[in-house]
Amino acid sequence: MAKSFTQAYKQAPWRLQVQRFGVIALALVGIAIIAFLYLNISAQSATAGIEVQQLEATRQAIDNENASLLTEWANLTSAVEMEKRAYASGYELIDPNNATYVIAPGYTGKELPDVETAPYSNLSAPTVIKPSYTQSLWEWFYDTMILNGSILGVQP
Amino acid sequence: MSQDKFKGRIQYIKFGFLGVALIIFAQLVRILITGNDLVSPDTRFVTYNPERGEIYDRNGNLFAGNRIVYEISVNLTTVNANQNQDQIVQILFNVIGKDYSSKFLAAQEYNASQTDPEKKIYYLPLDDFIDPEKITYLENYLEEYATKRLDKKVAKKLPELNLNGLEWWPHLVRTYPESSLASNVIGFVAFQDRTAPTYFGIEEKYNQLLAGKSITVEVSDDPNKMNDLAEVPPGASLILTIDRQIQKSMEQIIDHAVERTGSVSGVIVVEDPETGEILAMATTPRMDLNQYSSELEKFPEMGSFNRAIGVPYEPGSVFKVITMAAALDAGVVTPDTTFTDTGIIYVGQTAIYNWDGGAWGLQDMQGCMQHSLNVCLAWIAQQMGSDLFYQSLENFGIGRSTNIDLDGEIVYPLSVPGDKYWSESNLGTNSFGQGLAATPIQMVTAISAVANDGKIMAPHIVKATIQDGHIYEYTPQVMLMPIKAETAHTLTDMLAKSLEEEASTALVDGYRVAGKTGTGEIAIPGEGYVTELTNASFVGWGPTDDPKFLVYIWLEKPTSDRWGSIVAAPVFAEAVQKLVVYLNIPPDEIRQELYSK
Repeated sequence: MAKSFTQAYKQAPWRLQVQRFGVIALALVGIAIIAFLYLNISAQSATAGIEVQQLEATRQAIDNENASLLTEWANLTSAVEMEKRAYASGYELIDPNNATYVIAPGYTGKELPDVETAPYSNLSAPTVIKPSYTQSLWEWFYDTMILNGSILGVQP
Repeated sequence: MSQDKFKGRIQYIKFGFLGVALIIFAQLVRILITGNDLVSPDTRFVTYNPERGEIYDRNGNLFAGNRIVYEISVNLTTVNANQNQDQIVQILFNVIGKDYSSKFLAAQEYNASQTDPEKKIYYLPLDDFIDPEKITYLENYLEEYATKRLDKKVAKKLPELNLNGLEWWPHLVRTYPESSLASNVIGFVAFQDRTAPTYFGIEEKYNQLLAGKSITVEVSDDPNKMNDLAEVPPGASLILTIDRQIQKSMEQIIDHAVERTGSVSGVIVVEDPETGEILAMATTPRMDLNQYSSELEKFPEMGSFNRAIGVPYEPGSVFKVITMAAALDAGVVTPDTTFTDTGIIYVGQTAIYNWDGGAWGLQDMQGCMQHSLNVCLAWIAQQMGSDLFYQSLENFGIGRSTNIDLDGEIVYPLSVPGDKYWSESNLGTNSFGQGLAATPIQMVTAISAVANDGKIMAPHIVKATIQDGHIYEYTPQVMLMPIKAETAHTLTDMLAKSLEEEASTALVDGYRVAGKTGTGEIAIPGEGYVTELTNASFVGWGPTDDPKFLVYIWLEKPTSDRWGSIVAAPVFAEAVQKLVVYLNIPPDEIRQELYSK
């Protein structure tokens, strides 16, 4: 027959209170740490997000500016303008009978022009934003600590 | 209050706090787990339109690009809250030079008539396509104004400038730095239309490539929900075969020729017969592509935007080149074959005469071409027979599209035996380019076989495409091989001798060229062929031992003289004199000396 033992004395009430307070305080500290981490990461993420948006807007403005400058350059060097400048500089149209022709060794004729076009952009390129900026805290914890084995110790 | 009662209340408060804490924690966990899947009301779909690709000539000169313009609009809610409509109207009038008060009034009247808040106007576009200079002026004005008001004494005199609700932002629109140069080839984007439709030429033919692919993505204004922003690749850019300098020269030449000869219009096409590249395609009239809305009225007829591909006509004797090439290649005649010209021949029920109504007596085949004898060519067609003759024309691509990469090519079908409108007399008239119709580009394409060892290269305008940072160069394609190389050489030699013996005005000092004139009569409905109205043409190529260019000229209804030999041949000479300089082709003697070294 099982016998139950009863302690001969009890913890002092103040000790019990301290223990309870300690447990609650520990829980609160834990919650505060999680909240701090969450807010900190969220703030970093938000700052980065705003920076990315601003940089994207700047890049778009620069792209537009480049396109406009290219066109402005073309306006300044249009056929009509260049002809005007050539005549103003004293050039004349050549008489083919007075031209001197020479063989240029190695010259194979005109090649395709090296034109200035908008920069290469590849949609299939890997993402530029780090996952840590788009993951939730839970996703980050799961990926980093569990999948990558930081907790389970699968990987060195 | 007893101690137990007090403890009980404390317990309730504890549970209360614990409950709230648990709810907050549960919500926190839920957000952490579901995270990015949350659908937020601050999420919206945005369409990113890529920058339209540029169009360059073969030397990298820009034909079509983009420039920044601004759209101006107001947020009516903000304007109403600030009561600053009058200030906005006044400032815009000072800067832009336009009065927008009527637009405000119209919006207010509309909103007053609407009871449903969702149907009211909150965002009012005032204007678009504003030059950046005006926006810079506006921004500087506002900055200076604000700087002045920093001085407290000045601030008392200057009222506060409140433009809250006024917005402006940039976007790109199409622009054409060369204005009207090669306008018939380039076509245009009607950018003032929100849907930006494209019309004619390269712009329409390659619209999908140039426009690129719009991308619609879901974006959030909440930076915490930041996603990868859309990378929108710009539209492909194109490098054309057109040489800006040659194009400009040819346009000047055809403009002068049209004016000098009193023609309705004119066309010059310059092709490299070895590759099929179109070096120039000059037509009249042309338009300033930047002013498309006001200049389109220059083109009332279908196809007239680019007559070189859009207007078929009866080419006349330039067509004899094709007939003679087919007959020589089939062995029906040789250069030495003789024909006694009596000045008339019956084909079917139709009597055919020479251009001068005369009889030229005994002629060899070169004589037939040199004197452009209709009777002789009709006889040759008879000797060939209709089956061989029309099969040969089809081999040259007559009656079919050249598939040149320009929008708006028109094809006039070729009537062949068995067709409703074909009669035996067609065999005779077709042999010298009457009773059928072809566009200049079709004639260029067909006759290029004679200038390129019997091979017809596919005519094309785009030399290369630039997409995603890579250049894709067009590889010249053999389209047809209607005649043998030796036939091409023989006929080239015959036509060069013809010009030389005729002392044609098409000859160019120092360069041996081959060519043929053409004077096509024009049929008027109800009147038949009217001899006063003609289409004067000339086709020529050179240097004959290694052709680098083929030039086709068409003057529509010249009034100074009706003959191609008088009005079109000198235009060819003028064009070649320019071409040999731009293409760096030395005179034949110098070229032979250089080759022999």
